[in-house]
Amino acid sequence: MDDTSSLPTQPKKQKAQSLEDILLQLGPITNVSYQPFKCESSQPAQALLPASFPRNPHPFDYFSLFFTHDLFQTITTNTNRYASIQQLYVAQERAREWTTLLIEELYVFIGAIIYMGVHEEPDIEMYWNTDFNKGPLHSISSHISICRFQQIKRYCHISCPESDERKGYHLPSNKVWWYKLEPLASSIQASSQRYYSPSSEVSIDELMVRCFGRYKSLFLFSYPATPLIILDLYIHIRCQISR
Amino acid sequence: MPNKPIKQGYKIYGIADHGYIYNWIWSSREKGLQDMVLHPALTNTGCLVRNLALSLPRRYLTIYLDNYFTSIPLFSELRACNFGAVGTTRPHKQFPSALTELKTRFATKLEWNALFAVVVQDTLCLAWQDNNIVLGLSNIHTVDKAEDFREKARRRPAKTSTNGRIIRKVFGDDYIKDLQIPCFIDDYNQYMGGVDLANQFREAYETHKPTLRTWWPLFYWLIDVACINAYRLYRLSIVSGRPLTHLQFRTELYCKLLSYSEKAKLQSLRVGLGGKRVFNPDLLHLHYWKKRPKQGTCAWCSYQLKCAKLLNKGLKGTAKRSVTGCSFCDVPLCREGECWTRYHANDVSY
Repeated sequence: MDDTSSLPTQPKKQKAQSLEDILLQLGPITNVSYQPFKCESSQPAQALLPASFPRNPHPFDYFSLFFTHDLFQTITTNTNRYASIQQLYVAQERAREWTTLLIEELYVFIGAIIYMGVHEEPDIEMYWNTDFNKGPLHSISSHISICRFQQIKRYCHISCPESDERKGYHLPSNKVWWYKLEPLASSIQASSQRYYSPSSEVSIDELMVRCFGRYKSLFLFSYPATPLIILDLYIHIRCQISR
Repeated sequence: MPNKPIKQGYKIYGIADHGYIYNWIWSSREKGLQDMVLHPALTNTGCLVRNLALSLPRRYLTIYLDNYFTSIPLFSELRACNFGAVGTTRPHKQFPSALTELKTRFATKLEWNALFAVVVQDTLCLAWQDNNIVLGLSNIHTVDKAEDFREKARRRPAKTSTNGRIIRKVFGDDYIKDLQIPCFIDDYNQYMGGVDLANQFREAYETHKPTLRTWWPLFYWLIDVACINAYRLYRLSIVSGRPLTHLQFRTELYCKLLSYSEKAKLQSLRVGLGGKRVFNPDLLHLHYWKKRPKQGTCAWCSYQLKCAKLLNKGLKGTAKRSVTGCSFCDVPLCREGECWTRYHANDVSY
């Protein structure tokens, strides 16, 4: 113990003070007088619901405070716009026919996404399983077909694809990198502040959103590495055995 | 950061209260923080905290921060903006060196619950011995009075804990013991969880599917934020009765959203009805009866049948067939009845 600790502490000791010196310098805790900042007395958080809010609300009513009908309308319009652009430019011979997205279909689509969060399955196709001998049955399949779900997911666009290009958002100089989520993001942000009065204690922290993007090198490199090493070892051992 | 559960992803800085996400600021590894008001005395992280704090609806609140954000200049600036602030901290330039030395060199030498404090730039800097030395900053606490300590049930650390030796002496044979700890650390433990709570809510029923497009995770995140905030509002505004749990809340929510599928199918039937659907008086001359070369099913009758089938009304029968129809819309329609008028009056907004 002494041998190991003496090495790093030796050079420090010449310039640094000993524990006693520091304790003496700090003095007893009762001597530290401080004039604290006077905060408001503790208050609970409050919900500031709009006057038009229904008397007996359903969870959906709370949800639609954030995802308003207008936002659904915007996403529907922009999805249709994007889909029509894609149909024009990307000529696919065997592409599925796109029928105009209806706002009700978008409601179902978002509902399906929330459903998938509650009932997790490893593969998206398992939600449309219809044979109970092969796995659990999910109720999504009676509401939306898998083709339509995938099609909406493919063409779903929140921001207007044309005005994005006009504003030059796709250029590398753009600082608003979350432009694809506008106006949804700023609208939810504004609603979050409008309908809530915080309590006396709030906290600031980081929120991590999990994402394995393609450009992040870590996953691209570590994945193929493992099987190769194992294969290599295997061949090596086999060679030695055969010898 | 090696101990992070999520190693890759987008980082968003948020201000939260009991799991409700009040506001957030975007951040990207490549592009850095989003544009915001900068303050000359503060670092970028400090400006971020200041901006988030100023977005709050009123002053004189207490903000709890973790050691990623805290610094002494930030705390004095927050005080100038009329905000209380509490947080753990890392040793930094302005932090008193005596307290830093305690952490780096004498962490094993001090007794449990030893507390030291220095005032710098109108901010209270603290060092408290727990399992290890905890460095903290506060501008709402004091340490020189008896009421600055609070009795709290603490749990004995495991035998393998780094500094377990010191603490186990205090606990003796008890697993849980009521001990006097500083209010500072108690408050911090109690209120810091605002964002963590939000993260926990989200992780419980996260709507995450692997995607290739970079903005999809953020879209999922936004859906989750909307769900969580809706749930928090629900819990706050419910007055009587037993509130739904988070899971029940989400279940009711997706049931309602999925039930739109009936409307969607009806709507798509209406859209599929086709035709030109121009039937205002000026354009009346465009539509006229015509004998069609082949007999066909009346468009309106078959539409009605399909709708009834969808709504499970149990209507049976086949749609009428007709040789006549509208020349402009190019559909067969019944000669008798109201099929002609109904079909043309059917105006679809899409």
